[in-house]
Amino acid sequence: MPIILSSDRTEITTFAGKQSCYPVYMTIGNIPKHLRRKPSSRAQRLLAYLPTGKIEGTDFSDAILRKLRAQLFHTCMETVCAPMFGPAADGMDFTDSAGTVYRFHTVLAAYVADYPEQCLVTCVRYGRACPVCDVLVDEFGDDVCGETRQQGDTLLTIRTASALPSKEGKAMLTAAGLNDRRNPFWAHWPHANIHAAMSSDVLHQLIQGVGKHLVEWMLALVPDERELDARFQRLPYATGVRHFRHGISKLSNVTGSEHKAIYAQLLACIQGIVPINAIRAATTLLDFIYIAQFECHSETTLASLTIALSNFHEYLPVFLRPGVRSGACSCTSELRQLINPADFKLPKLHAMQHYVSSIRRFGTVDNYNTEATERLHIDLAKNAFRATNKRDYGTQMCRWLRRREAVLRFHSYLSWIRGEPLEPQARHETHASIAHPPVIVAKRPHHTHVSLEQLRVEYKATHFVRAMDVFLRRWHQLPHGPGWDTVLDTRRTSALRTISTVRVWNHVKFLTPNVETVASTDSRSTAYASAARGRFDPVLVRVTGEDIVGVGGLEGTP
Amino acid sequence: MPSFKRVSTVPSCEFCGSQFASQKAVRAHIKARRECNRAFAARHKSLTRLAVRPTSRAYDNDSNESCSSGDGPGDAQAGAFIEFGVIGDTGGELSDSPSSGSRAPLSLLQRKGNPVPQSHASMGEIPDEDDVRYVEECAGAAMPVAKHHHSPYEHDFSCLSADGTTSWAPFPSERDWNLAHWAKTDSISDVTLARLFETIALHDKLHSRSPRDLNNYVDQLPTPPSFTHQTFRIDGVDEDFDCFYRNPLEIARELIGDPAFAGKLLLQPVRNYTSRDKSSRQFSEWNTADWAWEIQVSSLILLIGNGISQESA
Repeated sequence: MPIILSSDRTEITTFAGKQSCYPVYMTIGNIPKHLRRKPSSRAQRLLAYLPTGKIEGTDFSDAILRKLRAQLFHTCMETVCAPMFGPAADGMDFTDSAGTVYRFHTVLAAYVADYPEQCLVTCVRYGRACPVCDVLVDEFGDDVCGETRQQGDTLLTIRTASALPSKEGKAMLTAAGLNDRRNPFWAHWPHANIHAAMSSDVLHQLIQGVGKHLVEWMLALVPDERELDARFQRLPYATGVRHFRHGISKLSNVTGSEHKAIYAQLLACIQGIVPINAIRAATTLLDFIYIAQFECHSETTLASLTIALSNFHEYLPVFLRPGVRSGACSCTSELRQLINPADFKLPKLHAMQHYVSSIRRFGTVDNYNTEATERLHIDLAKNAFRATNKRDYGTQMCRWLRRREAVLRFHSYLSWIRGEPLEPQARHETHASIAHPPVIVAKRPHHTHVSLEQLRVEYKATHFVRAMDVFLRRWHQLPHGPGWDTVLDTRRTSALRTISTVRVWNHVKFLTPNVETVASTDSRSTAYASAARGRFDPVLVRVTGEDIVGVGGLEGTP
Repeated sequence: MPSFKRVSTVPSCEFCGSQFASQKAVRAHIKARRECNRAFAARHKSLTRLAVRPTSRAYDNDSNESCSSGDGPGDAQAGAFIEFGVIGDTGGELSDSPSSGSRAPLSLLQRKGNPVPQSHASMGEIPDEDDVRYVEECAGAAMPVAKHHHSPYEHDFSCLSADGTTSWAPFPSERDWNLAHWAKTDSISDVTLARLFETIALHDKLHSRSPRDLNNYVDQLPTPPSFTHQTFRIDGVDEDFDCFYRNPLEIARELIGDPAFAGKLLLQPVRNYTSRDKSSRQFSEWNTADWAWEIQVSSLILLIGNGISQESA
């Protein structure tokens, strides 16, 4: 049984105060990933609230405080995880919901955390070394990947260094990029390798990591930020893509989804105003980000991931010379800051090296996404805190959580013995390919009387009448006419001529089967066409042939 | 010994039996005819499940009842023995001839007189619409050790409803339960609830009179893993550090026993290939990647170690 732990410190007060909370979540890899990442399936359970480790009212130096905090963390985590050490080696019997007993070994598989947290857990020196492999900060910007650290080696190094005189010991730890942390919590966990367990983290490392830097570099590289903003503003509205009405250079506190929207539009916007190699670098990086998030990988996609990474490193130096196109706009040239070569010494940049091996080892990256745990904070930390009277809230939060879980548990038991699906989503999932037609329109049209003339002018549907003819011919299985000219009999033709208005739907929902994993649900997307907003989404419809589940294309659906 | 299975496809509808000229015509027919379409969808679903479900082979309800807790090599673990030889080379290729290491446990087993299961590391084929997936299973893993009559949930809740049918015990009525469910899952505070009780006359509809009553009922439910509170102190710091935690094993027990995941648990390491020669591997879930395979093998080594030491003892 692969144990997946994740911990993340979070603020629990919304405005005033500085109360924070340090929850640790636990889940097991045996649960399919599409269920594991759904908060409603409750696959992630709260394991512990750790002390937040704010040590106040002392005159210790910062270094000692850091050390104390780390020791506190490891001591607590060891207390929490200790029951799993025995069963990891000997196995333990667990009963599933059908009553079948299996023997499981509770082995630590992955630890989902952001970079500071990873360093804390692995005893690696923050900002100086990689928690996974033995590469130090100097090589972070290079296309190199070191040997994976081994848990035993780390322990040995720390132990040896502590036995040496203090100066030599420090030198030894610095060379290894480690911190002097005795007794980390994973020391006695059989089969564990904490360094390999540090999983890749798409949200922090790519979307809000390297990708964010890419946008910054681009902004430094363009001759005028306003031109880039203007290009973003000029883009038409489209479905699934956020429109940046004010451009991107003034955004602050950019969320993950905003970043994703920027990446979707960035390439088109930088064309022509940055050096060609910068565009190439952006292309390869975005390739990497998108390929890395595939829900199913093959040798081919992994190979393209590697190629994208090495190409990115090839084009990376372009960002070191922002002055190449000087003179394009004199007023902002002094604002354009030179990018420091040290900017490439980023742990995030180096972390990209580990994606391929991480996928090979633990499966695709959506197995270990921090986005899921960020969502859990709301339920299990913030809501729990809100329910308390804000004083000595630990006990109250636990009571609140216990009652909530008891109720949810009873609910799932009741629905189970009554044979009902537990979640509305689950019902949707089981009948996805059968119950739902692939196209959903609202029951009532948005506009009931739109004349053909309006349709032609406002909605720009110039070929509507002809297309209607063709459709009717096929619907009634009439013989083919030459070209567009249809051979409708007079009765139908005259019927068509009498149509003066049509009903118009402004949006249509399409259900497309998710081709990446078999078990997950169909994905839903909505196409908008609104004359009032001047927005028309392009839709590609495969009219004939089969779709992936073999139910059929859109042919024949009314 | 790995064996390849290929599902033969003849140009006829396997659901209604009608014959067709080509495979394409069969597909068109399945698409068009409602009954066949349903049957196809159902089969498609069940076949794809096969890849992730533990199959029921080498599993006997009665004979395994006795070895529920023993460390000794029961039938289930014996299955693991045989497998080890085949999956032993972690280099990634499934060798056609078992390496010499596999023979020892095999003969060990035969000497013990256990029946040797027919096929363990089999490459089953999942017919998909477009691509064909070949699945190599790390057999020996996910062998049931025993079978209880009750699942953990049934066991927990059976004390509540005496007749075994659906009832709202410990809640006096369905309405009380629904209100409690809503209040606890939608984070309705007790103060808000109390005002609800004050504002609307709920007396004729509910048995509970106050949020306190509801909480009492909730507290009578079988409890989920409970929290332990431990305080840590650091020398020289005048402050207590509170840590609230629960037993991770109980959480694991909860997750495994949760009916929400019934039949969906991934128990067996597999390697998925898109081609028969295993040249193109697919990675997606945890159990399709290398770590699962390696760790399974290393725990099997442990089992074998235990088995041999017990054998010699």
